[in-house]
Amino acid sequence: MKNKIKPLIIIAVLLGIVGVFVGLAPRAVAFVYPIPENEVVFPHDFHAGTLALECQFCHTGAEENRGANVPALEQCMFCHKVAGLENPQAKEVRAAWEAEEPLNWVRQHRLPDHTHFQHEPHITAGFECSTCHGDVAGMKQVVQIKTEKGGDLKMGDCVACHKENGAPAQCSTCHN
Amino acid sequence: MSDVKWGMVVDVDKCSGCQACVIACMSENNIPINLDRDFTENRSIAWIRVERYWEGEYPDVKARFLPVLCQHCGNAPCEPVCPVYATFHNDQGMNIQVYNRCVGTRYCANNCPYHARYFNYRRPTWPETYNNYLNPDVTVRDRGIMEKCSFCVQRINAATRIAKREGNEDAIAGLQTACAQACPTDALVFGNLNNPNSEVSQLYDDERSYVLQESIGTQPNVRYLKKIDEHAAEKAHAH
Repeated sequence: MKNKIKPLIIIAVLLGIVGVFVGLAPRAVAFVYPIPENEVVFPHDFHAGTLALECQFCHTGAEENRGANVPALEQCMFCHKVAGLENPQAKEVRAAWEAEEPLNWVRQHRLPDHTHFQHEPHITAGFECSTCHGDVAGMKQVVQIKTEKGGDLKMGDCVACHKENGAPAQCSTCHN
Repeated sequence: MSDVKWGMVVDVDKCSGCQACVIACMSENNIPINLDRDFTENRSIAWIRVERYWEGEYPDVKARFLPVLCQHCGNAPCEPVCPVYATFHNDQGMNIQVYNRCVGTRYCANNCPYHARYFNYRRPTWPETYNNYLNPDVTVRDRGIMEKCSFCVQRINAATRIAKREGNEDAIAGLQTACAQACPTDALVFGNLNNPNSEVSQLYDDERSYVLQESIGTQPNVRYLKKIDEHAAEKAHAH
């Protein structure tokens, strides 16, 4: 009897060890899509749609800088000290402000490696934000727009637009 | 912008070998810190380096310095050997390296007569405190990628944007690479060769001007100004 139980115990112990390592192994990373939603949902459709705020009222960097900037909490409090006092989401924003802890916004638009996009020249040239970002005013949660063929925006779309508008389209314009 | 041709003049007479250009280039272009083993394995990376040559016998010795960077050749040996077109010549006379395309064959580095191309044999690492010191305008090259002096193309792009936005060429006229900006003796002069009034184009045709390894016929956009040796005449007389 003992001889039969011993190998079983050994197998059980081995399985246990393997199980622990499988459990500890880092989860396979889902690449890029789908992007997790924000903890505090920022209703773009209300701010940009119903209130018709300018994009650059919050995304202040678009006109001068490389990045359009995910706004700091201070920018939210510009209005939310007095606006939306009863709104549960706005309450979370105020709570974070009072606790002096930044909100962890999840970035929805990410560039591939080795690529440098500059907002400033595009905005200065008179392009609308919606050309690349779509109708944000109609989105509850911002998502990346799809091209006519149904794919994501790719380098080909950048190059096509650059050539159409006589913008520099050599590699070093964006990849350096 | 295609009326612009970027070039550099290195006045060897002014160079004191202080290595400020090397450090400036490293911090501008996110070049990894070279450790002992990088040097012993001959795998150190420095887009601009100051070569040192000893002359004479002790105690009568002299050190001669020669800053060497990518010469941005008009007839570049590195370009035709790249199987994936990762290095090419742009319309501003610069030799551009495209990291996305590079597959790491190292043909270009083997074909470069100036040894101005550097391969990332390792994934570059910095101490954690350096994380926020990296230049966000420059890609951090990963393992398996060839890299070299870009003439600070990120600065050129930025100056071009500013010039376009403000409608004047001041930003382009005042443009300097990191090495030229750091040089305390102004031995490195960077500028537009197509502008006859720029300092670089006036120095370019100076009588002291020469090209590294001219016999190869690479037609570089970087020229050197010969060192004036005040004792050369004495020596010639003595012989």
